[in-house]
Amino acid sequence: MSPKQVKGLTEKQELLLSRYFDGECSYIGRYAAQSLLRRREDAREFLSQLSAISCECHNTLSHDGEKTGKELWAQIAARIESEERAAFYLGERREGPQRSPVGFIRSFYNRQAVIGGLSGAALAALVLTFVTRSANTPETLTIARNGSSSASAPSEVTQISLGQGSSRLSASNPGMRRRSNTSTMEVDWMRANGPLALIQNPHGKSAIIWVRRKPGAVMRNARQPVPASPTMHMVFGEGLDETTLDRSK
Amino acid sequence: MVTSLESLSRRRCFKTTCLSIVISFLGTALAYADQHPDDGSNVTIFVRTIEATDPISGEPPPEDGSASLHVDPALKDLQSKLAQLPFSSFKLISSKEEHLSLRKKDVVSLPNGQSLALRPMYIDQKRVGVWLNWKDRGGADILNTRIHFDADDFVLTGTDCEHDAGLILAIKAVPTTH
Repeated sequence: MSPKQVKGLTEKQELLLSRYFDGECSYIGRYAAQSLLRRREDAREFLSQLSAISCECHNTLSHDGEKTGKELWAQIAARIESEERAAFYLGERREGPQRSPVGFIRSFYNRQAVIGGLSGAALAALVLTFVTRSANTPETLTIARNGSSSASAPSEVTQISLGQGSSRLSASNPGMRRRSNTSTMEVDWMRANGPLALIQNPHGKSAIIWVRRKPGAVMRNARQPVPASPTMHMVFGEGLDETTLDRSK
Repeated sequence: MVTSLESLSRRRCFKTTCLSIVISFLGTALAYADQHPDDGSNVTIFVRTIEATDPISGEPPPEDGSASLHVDPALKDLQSKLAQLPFSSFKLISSKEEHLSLRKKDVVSLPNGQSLALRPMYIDQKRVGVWLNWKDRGGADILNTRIHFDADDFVLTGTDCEHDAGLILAIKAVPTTH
């Protein structure tokens, strides 16, 4: 025995009102039910139906022998028959309110908007990073072989720092950070159209970068010809010190 | 009922669109800020082009052998550095002064048809980071590098030229005072 389906109330609302009528609601549920009852006429109608059914049940149970099992069965049979008729003409009763395709599409687009926004932001950040970096950084870092420029070696970033009287050659992060306050010249990466020589004044702080484009050119302080390999030569005022890039990896 | 649901959905759609725009804007702004930390500063870059002639071969001269050097009077401040090079004569060909903004690229034309592209990355009172790309007359790279050096110091770079000569660039960057 249930109240008539009140048009406009969802199953959830009906359930809420049923729980409210039975006194099974929590504080929030009670508040929601009361506000629903205040706002909606059909909710009040549903609640009155519920109370009417309750009274009817109460009377039925308390009435001795007036309604026999036969009468009750007749009512049940009539109800079943009406349900079958309704199912035949109107289709099977649905379990719950089905979402319309438009609502589904809209929620899909809502989700897409959020995901699209996030991915757009990430993409914009990535593109900016690459655009600004690629403007400063060549695609490849190559140390020329045999005095001619080589084209497409894999990109390589090298930091070279020339200290006072000592040298170190190490790979470092290419990120554009401010360098330390050491009084040296530091090189993030270098590409030249010929073998390179870094000539350091023993009393000075910085070095001279010399690009040898003529194979026969002789450098001061250099004691041997430049080998035809990717080599970074560091020629110091006192003696020759050379470090190959291969060794530094 | 349907109308209120539709309006609710429309409101939600509007909110999510606004949110996505704000997120995009913030992400872009953060990335841009990260890449452009000091865009307000300016840099003055001095580029001196020096021709080196009379190559020296064999053993290097003694430390105090500056008497054998013929250095242009305008290059006296670079004499100790030029003495490290295997040439005995140095002549100033041109001297240029360029005012650049940080992170902005500028191309300096050199007298012999070569060019020097410069992009100062950062500068403070002591250190400067510069990307430089020195190209020959045909547009081929002579040197392409990113270096960090002291702001009060000249960095020298050079290359061999025809007739056993050398071409040297002396580059210095200082913060522009407003």
